[in-house]
Amino acid sequence: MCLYPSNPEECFYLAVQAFDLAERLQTPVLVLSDLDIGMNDWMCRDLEWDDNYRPDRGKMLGKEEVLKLEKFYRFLDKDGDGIGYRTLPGVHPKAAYFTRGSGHTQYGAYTEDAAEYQIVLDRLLKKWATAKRLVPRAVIDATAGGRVGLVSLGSCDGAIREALDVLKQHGVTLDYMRVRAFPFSEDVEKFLAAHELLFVVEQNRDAQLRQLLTLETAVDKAKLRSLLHYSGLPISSHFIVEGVLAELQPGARVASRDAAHG
Amino acid sequence: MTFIAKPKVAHPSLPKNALGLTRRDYEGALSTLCAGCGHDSITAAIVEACWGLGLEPQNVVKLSGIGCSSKTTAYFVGGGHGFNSVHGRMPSIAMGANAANRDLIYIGVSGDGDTLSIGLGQFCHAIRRNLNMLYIIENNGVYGLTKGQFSASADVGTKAKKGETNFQPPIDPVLLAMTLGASFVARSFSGDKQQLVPLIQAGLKHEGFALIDVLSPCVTFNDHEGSTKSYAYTREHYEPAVHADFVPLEREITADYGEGEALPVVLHDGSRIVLRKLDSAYDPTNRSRAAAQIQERIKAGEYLTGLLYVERSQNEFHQVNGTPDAPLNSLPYEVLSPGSQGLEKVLARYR
Repeated sequence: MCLYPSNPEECFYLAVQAFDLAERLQTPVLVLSDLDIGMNDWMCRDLEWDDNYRPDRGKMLGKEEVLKLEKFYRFLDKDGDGIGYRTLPGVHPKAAYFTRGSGHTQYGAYTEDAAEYQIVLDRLLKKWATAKRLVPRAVIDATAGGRVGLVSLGSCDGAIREALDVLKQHGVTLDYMRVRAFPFSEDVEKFLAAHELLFVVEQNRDAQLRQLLTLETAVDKAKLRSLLHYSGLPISSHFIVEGVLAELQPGARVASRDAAHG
Repeated sequence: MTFIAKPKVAHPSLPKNALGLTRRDYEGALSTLCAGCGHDSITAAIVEACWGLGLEPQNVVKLSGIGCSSKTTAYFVGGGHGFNSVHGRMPSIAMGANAANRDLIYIGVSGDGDTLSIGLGQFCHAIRRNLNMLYIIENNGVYGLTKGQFSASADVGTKAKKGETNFQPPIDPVLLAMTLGASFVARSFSGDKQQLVPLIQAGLKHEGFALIDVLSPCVTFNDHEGSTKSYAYTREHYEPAVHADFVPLEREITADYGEGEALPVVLHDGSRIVLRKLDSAYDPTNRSRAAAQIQERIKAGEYLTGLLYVERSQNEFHQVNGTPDAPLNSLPYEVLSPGSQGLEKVLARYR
């Protein structure tokens, strides 16, 4: 799983959430920062800590709870969400389990039986579906309410918001969705479906966000227009304005780079 | 193969340890390794050692990477948690678990491939941090799980099953550990349980990183003529230099150890490792001399075995880092989190 913060401030809050998700979903969660966020100076609001917050340890059984069970099965999907219950080492011999590198049954025992193994893989698919409900939702600004949208992630955010303001001066208004997690939250699919044309802005050569959107959602590929920036420098609003106008107002004169930056 | 569950039946006359548990209580699932594999003998030695020390099974944590060796953590102490990590990354998992709970007993089982190739960096840093764990290398000189390619511990001149010769010099985990400052370094042979069991017990009780490199022949891919890691070759060329006996605190040191060459090393809990030199010229307490002697014997084609170097370790990971006496995972959230006021102080440092 991956979380995509847009600035150092959001890195802080998503890091907290990443720990909770990792324990709830019992899977590694990566917080994907980038060189711009990690190496440059940023203006950020004071970080705040909610003293009422308590970490989510997820489905964890203590000694008393395990002793009440007839037998403890680490990988059994009791609740239908694809997540088994776990225990910490040192609790009780009955609570012990083996995290193995080879195939196991849903009861945690070694197996080379194809059907038994497939049950475990199907459980992980259920967990993937559960994850989609738990990950941070996308940040959506749909005030434009038009047929054209812009999808992006991470540190593109600042340049995009500036570009959206500049584009308004050109009479172009776009809805904006900033994806914050993979697997994609359920609102991502809705946003894609609600727009006829979608710019996908990202800072890599291979259009990895666009690839994931085409693989993981029902979006029509023909609706997607990639705006890719990968010169090694952070993306600028000018690049986005130019890319959008080239598609929507071909032949229109774009203000010079200096003017766009004020 | 279909899996056969091991019946949990123990004869009532089986001897019991201080906890009232039999050796059967320290076994695990049925081994799926080849019949005659040296690794199964090491598993049996671990079972014997843990039973003999009377360890609470739930306090034993078993960690491994990938390989035939790494499968064996499923075959002993079924009452303890086990973790088969990514290839060569067992030390990281051990590090994390040990950082969270310093009170448990950590046994890492790895192979010559897992430790000396893909996991070499991790192995070195676990030693450097003096992680309090027993690290056993089940060393057979080949990648058994992938059908017998030479590993990084294969000797120059040794022959593979199909006849090709190895020309690359081996990495010796014992010499490497000694140069990295390990405080407990041993070598043994899977076929010598009398030597191996007390070594495992001493390693478990040693506070800090304890390494036992166990020569463990691969019956399927490296037990033929021309191999320098076969049963026959190992039996001919291994040379016990220092016998180590573990003496628990509650037991008096008897006259057996009263000879001139017996050397007790007192551990942190007051128990001792009593060393008996079988090779009078060898000094297991002098790092540089011991390393030189091991190297000379390797040149002569011999493996010195036993507890080859030991010192009472002074700087186990938690001592260096000043962590609290109670396991970190037992501290309540309120104690661990500095809260909003703590965060304000941190932020103030950056203004």
